Amino acid sequence: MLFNRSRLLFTALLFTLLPVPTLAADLATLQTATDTIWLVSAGALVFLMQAGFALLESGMARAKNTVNVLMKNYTDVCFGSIAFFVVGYGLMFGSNPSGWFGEDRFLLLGGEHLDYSLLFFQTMFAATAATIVSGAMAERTRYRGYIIGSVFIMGLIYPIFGAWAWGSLYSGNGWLKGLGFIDFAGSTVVHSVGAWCALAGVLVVGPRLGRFGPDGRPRHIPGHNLTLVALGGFILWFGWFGFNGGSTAKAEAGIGLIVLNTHLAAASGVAGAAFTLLLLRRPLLASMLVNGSLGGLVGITAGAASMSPMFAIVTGLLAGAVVIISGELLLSLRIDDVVGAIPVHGFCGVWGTLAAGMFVDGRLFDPQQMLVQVIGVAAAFLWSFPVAYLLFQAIAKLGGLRCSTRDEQQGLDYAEHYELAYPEFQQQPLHPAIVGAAGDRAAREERHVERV
Amino acid sequence: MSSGYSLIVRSAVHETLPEDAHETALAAWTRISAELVGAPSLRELSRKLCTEAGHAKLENSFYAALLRNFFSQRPDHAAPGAATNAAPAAATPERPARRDPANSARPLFTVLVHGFLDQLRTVSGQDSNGTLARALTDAISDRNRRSAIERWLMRGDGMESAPCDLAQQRAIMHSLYVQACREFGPVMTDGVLTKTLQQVRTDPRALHQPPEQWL
Repeated sequence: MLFNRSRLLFTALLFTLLPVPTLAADLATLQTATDTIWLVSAGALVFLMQAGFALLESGMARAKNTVNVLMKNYTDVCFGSIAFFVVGYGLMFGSNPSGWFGEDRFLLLGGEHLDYSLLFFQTMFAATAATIVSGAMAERTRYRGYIIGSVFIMGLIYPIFGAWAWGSLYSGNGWLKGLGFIDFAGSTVVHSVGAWCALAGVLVVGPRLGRFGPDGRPRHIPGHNLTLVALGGFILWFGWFGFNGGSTAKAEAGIGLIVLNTHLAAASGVAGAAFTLLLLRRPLLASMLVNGSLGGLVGITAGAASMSPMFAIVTGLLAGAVVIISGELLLSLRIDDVVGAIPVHGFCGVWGTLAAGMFVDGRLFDPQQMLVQVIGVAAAFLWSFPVAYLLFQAIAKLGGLRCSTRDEQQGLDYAEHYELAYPEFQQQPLHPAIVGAAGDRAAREERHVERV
Repeated sequence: MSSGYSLIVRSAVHETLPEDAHETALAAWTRISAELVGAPSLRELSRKLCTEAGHAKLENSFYAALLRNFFSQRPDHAAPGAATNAAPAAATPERPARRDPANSARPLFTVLVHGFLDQLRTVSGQDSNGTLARALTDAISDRNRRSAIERWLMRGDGMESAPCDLAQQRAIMHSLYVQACREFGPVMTDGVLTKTLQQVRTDPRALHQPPEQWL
């Protein structure tokens, strides 16, 4: 008792001696440090999503294209990150007096401590938008053409729309942000923009050889490794806690609700996809259920911070159904999306953004808000799809986007990268170009035969 | 002739059909195999066996099991594609395979093309002769040359009037692959091509002329 009273007296004395401004400054420093730690940790989680995408997409592709898919996922983030650092961040978050694009902070000139963490975190977001494209265009797209496309997506297409919805961090407001557009972590800004770029890409590059029969009916081309698909799905799910949780940009109590909503939506996305498959009398394919969870995650991304957990479940359930139904729609239009990226990121992004407007906690079904959400969704499509279409057309004309049918036959691992993920199971296990000097000669001869 | 098929049919019967239907299905298979001339169509076979066993609804599952067994078997276990001859053991540098008398008279490239078309016909249950004609139309523009090469591929003569070098043979094989993908789908085509390559590799000449050179 005596001891407790002495301690209380000592603490009171300490507080009277300690100047109040110093305490406030220390608290602010502590808050900044905590925010930085959270933002960097969340950014690292989002970076892990790249591994998830790489596994999921390579598992859904045929064995002969595994290395190609892995290489695309591994390198688009590298080249794209540089593009985002040089121009993307400035365009997206720089001072934005016009409401259309940022005008400073290119190369992060004049940046301070928190800017570095924000740029790191946002680079991972930009990489996510770009990498969505690779899965949709897999198995018939040339490596170089794809990388050029992803640099433009990360350096131009994504940041411009981002400036409308999220700009600016410094001064001025994006025009969509000014309207009150809700897209907390990017159902539209990141996922739909990436998916509309993917849609443009698959329309330019065309379907894989034999994907649709002469009568137009789709032929199933199974992926080579569902273990990778499931593991990729789990990693994406895990990374999404950082994707949505980190979008607070600071360490705060609201992160709990965001992460819970994220998890519930993913879980109910699987349930929604399963119910829809059962209703349509289709088999419960593992790849479809994994896509259902991803649809739920994309769906909740816009409204994770502004809706209650019950509505997160509703959002996820419907997102799972959207994945299945929009996938069928694309097939009926003869659009070949290898991994289902357009249904998952595009259509579920649209649904999630609309749901974020409908289910705002305390303001359910506010017509004004829903109208703004529709404007945002339409603006994303009208900006990203035509620009990406022109971009991929230009790449196709200038550098080549579609690989030859011989490359499709041999597999892009052999034709583009000269190394195979599974040499034991390939028709041609070793490329002449990787067996030394004699190999170089053989490769030259092979190219000569090609020309003949 | 049908011994190569018996293994895959029996496995498919056991994997797919209920136990009480096994006897009927296998009896039907014994009767059908006795009447078989050449390679059977797996699709047709599935339909007949399932119908006779009273499980017509299981036709698709049965067909899938047949295909799976067909593609997974090693060439020295059974060789439905080369149904007119028992498959020789796989060739190795130390132990060249026994030369197949039916194929030894033909150039190895034509053995590859024939094997590919035979397997396509077997797996799809559809005629694949038109596939070759359409592939040649894509690959060779000159009509006389095209018909000479078609004669050479199908009957083994006419080579003198239309010498066909490696580049041309590769173009023909690739065109055949593309056409098969369009008509039968890439999954079936890849499976058939892999199977055909396995069989061609059993020819002793494959030690000096690896079939991969035509891909």
